[in-house]
Amino acid sequence: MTRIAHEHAGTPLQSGVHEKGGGKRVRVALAGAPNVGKSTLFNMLVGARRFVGNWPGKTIDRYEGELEHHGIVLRLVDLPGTYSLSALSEEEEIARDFIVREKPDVVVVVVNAVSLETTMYLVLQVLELYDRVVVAVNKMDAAARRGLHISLDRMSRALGVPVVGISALRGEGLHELIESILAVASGAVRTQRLKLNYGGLANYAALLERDLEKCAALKDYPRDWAALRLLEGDSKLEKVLAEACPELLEKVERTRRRAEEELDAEPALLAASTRYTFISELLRSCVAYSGVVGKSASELLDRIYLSRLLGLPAALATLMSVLVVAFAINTGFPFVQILEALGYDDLAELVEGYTLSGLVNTALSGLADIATSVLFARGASPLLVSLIAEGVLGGVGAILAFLPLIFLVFIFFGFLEDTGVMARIAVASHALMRKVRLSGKALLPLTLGFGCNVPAVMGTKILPSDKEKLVSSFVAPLVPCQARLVVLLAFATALFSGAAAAFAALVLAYLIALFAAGLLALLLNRVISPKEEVPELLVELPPYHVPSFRVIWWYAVDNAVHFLRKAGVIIFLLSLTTWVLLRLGPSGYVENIESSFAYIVGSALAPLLTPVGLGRWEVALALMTGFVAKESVLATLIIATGSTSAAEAISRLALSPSQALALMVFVTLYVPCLATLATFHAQFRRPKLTLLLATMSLVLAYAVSLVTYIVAQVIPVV
Amino acid sequence: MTVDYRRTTLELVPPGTRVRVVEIRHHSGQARRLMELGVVPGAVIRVISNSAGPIVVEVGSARFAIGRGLARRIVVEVVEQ
Repeated sequence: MTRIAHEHAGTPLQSGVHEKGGGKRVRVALAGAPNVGKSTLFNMLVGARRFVGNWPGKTIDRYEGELEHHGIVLRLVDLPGTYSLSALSEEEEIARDFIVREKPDVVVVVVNAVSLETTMYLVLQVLELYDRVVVAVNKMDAAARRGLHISLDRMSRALGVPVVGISALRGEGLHELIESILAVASGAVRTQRLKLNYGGLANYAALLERDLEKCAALKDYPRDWAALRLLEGDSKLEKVLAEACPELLEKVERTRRRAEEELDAEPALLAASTRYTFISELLRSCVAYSGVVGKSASELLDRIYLSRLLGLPAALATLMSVLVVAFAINTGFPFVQILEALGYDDLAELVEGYTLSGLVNTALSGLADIATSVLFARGASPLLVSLIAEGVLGGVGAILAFLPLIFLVFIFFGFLEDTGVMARIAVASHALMRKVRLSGKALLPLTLGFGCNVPAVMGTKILPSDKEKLVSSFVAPLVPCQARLVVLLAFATALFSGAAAAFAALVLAYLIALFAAGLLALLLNRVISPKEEVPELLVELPPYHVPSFRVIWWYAVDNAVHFLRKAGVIIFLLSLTTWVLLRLGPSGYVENIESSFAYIVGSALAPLLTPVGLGRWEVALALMTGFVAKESVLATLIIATGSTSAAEAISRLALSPSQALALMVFVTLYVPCLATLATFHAQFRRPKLTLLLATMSLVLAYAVSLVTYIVAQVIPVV
Repeated sequence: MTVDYRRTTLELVPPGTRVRVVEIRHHSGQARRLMELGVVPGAVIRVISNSAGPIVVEVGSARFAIGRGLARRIVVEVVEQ
């Protein structure tokens, strides 16, 4: 509640940045419903001149960019994609607040020519609120292909603002769009707010309007607009009233009840109907269809994805195949493992060397070798050499180790999103996800988790409610990522004789992790605002289309850059800290790990792990370094046991099958890696939540591996 | 008042049917969302598929999947089989 007051206080500062007096700078906000191609337009307009930030106090990214047109700088802000300005969700609140408080020179509302019926609603809402507006009708080319003809002139006359047809992807119509923006900004084209005829409802709004004058807190909003919104029921405006003018809020509620009784309908419904009547009349007057749309492929895909029996298997199979391709490119899984099992070890090694992470590793170790020899040749101390080659380059490596997979995961999921398949998967899996009180939409971020937990946590942003975002972000780190798969594979193959037993152990670890994730989702849904109902499914199914590589590329680059900005520094610093622990000891720089701080810490922690059968300093240390990146568990075990390979290191530990299982479970569940925690923290920016996530998973890992250890001892494993 | 046999809820409408929305019996953000997507009283929508899972409807040229719980609260009358 107090946040509103803070934002008010912050307003003068923000608008001070705006150099409108100079006339050289035009501030433009881009608004639009999801799936209209708004981000594509933004990227096409600003190119590389863009910056990512956060909306103050919000978890949603704020994209800004600049472009120059005949000496005039246009500063673009990409508002979050919303269907309306009701301020029901965080996105809508941001978009509305920006328009109301920052008063941009021009608001461009992007609509989709192919689905005007749904995307025009936002245009109406913006136009009712704000006067300096330009409407951009995107995907004109796709509309033409479907036999849709849109009369932009008629639409422009009906709305009272310029309407420009564009194809953001092909870069068509952008020049005209910029010209229209400048014409509206300079006042060469006069525009005004849209006044719809709300019939009887307007009388009640007029009653309120006079009273609202008395409330200074509402001065940013057009009064007639605020009166109508309050009649409809607008939680954000009601909050403002409750704080500033509580007596008015009562009056609003009385008037609303009166209107509902006398008009025999809910004001919210009447208002929405009025808007939709306006839209359908508008479209009737300026849209013409010709020819039939060829739908056979879409219909077939929909028949599969939306079918009762095939839907869920098809959705899961699609996700699985996408993941396997991403895995294969990144580490060669499962092909390397299959080759090894068949006895073609050399070939397996060759393939592994040419995978994405193989290439990154080769490059990094090559760089470390060069740095080492150059530094030694110049007579640098072993401490300095180790600091540069292992500490600094290791830190860079820790960041780079994540990047290829994050990038790949986003490329593949950008593909699913862009083609329209993702929406179908959300629908097909809704029934399954509801069992743990999440919606079908949550399956996307959680599946990303199998690749890497970082995109999984980042991906929860797409979820509609704040509660679901939070619950999914807590659950996502429990999904075993590929780094954990590598560690689990190493343990399973080294510890269990026979491929079948190793495979069974691997599957068991995955099942335990997924079961824990499901339970946690259920539990959190009961704890966090339990009264909020389980989200009902309501998903737009965009038409299927051929993927655009450019759009997917932008999607992946944006997200990868985002990850670097948010998590890069933290990962680097903490992996440097690990280097300090491993290479320094009470006696200064140490070569032998047993005189390092790490040994001291590892030995101190080892007794804690004794109940789960893992009371070894090597294991404690490996788990500690595994916090930076899960792959490090193996590397540390190799160093700590003085072995040359992971298999040797594991056999030197001489773990019993029950201990091995306990360790596998522990590695799978315990503290999310640094990158995931850093991303989680960047998302919510509440230290308590981050700490809770870390503690919770540690406790969970301990408890589950304890149970596994005890059960595995009672029921002898093969 | 006579019973109107054409009236039912969206949950029970077979695929291929065109229906007119009569009423949305739900008071939450989701109902508001429905209206914003064009599912308002008076609107004519076409049911594309309706099996065990969510119901897919076509509003204008856009398609939506609506969960059964929500569909149960949308009262419609059949316009055309």
